[in-house]
Amino acid sequence: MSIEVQNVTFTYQPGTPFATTVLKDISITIDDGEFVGLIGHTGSGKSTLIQHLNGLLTPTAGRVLVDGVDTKEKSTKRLIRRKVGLVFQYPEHQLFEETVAKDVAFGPRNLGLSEDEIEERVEEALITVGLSPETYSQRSPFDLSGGEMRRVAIAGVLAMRPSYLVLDEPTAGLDPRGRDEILGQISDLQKKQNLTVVLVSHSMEDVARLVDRLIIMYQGQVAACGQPRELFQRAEELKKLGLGVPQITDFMRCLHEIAPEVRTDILTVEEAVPEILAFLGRRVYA
Amino acid sequence: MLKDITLGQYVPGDSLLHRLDPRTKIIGSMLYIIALFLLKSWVGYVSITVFSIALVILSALPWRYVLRGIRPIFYIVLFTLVLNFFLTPGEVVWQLGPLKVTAEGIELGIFMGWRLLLLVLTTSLLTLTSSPIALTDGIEYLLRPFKKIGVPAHELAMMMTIALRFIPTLLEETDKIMKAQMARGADFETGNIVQRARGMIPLLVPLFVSAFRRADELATAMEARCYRGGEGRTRLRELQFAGRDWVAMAVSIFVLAFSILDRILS
Repeated sequence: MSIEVQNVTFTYQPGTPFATTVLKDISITIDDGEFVGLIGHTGSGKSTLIQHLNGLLTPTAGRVLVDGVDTKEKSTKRLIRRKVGLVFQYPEHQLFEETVAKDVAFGPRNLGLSEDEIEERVEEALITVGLSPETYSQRSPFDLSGGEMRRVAIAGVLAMRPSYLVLDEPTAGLDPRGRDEILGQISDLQKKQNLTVVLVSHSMEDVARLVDRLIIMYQGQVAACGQPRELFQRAEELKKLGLGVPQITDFMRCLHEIAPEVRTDILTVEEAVPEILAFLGRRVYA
Repeated sequence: MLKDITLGQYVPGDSLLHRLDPRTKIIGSMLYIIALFLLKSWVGYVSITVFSIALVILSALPWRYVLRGIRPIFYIVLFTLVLNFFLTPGEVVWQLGPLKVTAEGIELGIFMGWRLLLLVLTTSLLTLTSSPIALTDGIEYLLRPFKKIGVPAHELAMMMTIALRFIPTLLEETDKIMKAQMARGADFETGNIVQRARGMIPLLVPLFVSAFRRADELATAMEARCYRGGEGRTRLRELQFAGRDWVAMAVSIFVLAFSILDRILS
């Protein structure tokens, strides 16, 4: 089971003076249970690409297969949208119901589930995003804080129990705490339920520590693909693509220049601590 | 789908139509509309069609793009045609039960439909070839004489620019929210009228919320830059009539005169 993107090209508003080709011959595969980071500079085509994953957009050329089914197929469109949950950028802008519970129930209700099942799913989804159903279900989504609204919106997609979860910049505009909480919850979800997650971001710091694999996009094409540790060894290349490596990786690379024994494939501060201590220890006792 | 609406979308360019003073284009469009509704004869219709085609060619805009602007009014035109076909009294050429198609109806229907098409085609040229800023300047200037009787010219012009400016933004927003709800299994395409109307709620509520939020932000941003209305405001670009504007005015007046003549003679 996987999502396969095969030689996809996509042009917005073809045949007008505004025609722009935003995806050029993209081929990627997203495997079951994988945690993939999709990274690229603003305008690199990330958001357009993910709309192909659940058939909201269909390719101008090439094809997208979700578990072997072509997204161009009209009859299976609903099935694909259920399988691939898509959380848009600033998803809190899509909230519309009077209460949080009703809003989260929108997706499951569209699936035609029984009331009991809907209620169960709403509760579960709210707990997953860290909102207690007792306090939140009966409140108006418009009275919540930005971070809470975002979680309600994410819960709205989770309640459909997708097998693939695609999130477009889920942490944009959140404070560091809100960001860490949401990313932590997504990571937990991925591990516990073996959910396939595609996380779109332009921030290396955010995704580096979480994902198994990174896909780097540049001007509508896949510029690089691989494990974060491998990719960050090519920091100069990444800079050319308008992306940096995490600050701590950069720092370790600098340290490496004066002390060649220091490792450079470090992604998080936690990883760096023993490495730096060891380095300092050697210096002190030398 | 929503992006197909070209009305209110400016396409930058350097054609003769682009370079005309916005006041010329606004007055010209008004005269054109009056002329269009005065015309009565086939000759008149053919002439104004040729004139309209010439205008599109002068605008140097791609045909497919201009024609796309007409697509949304297709059903209105169809409706006009059918209503006129059946409801105009006169010589019956075809009958089905109580429904009668008359010769006069066919003629009137085609005239009316054709009129609508030309109306949208030519007036969309106005917004396609003038930037919203130029348009407002023009409108404001033309409304100035009415200030004495209490017409808030500047405020009206400002409201119009803002409205025009936000059409594409709101369309984009609509598109985005629609997609977000479709990702949650919403269906905007099937069902009967009641179901479809209900289906619009998940789209309309967020759209209104966001329109109000945007309006609020815009008001704050304008105030932060000390905007306080029209009195004593100077402009970056003063409008100036050039030779081509006088020629264009003369042509517009000629078109109007032609249609008045057509009306009197037929």
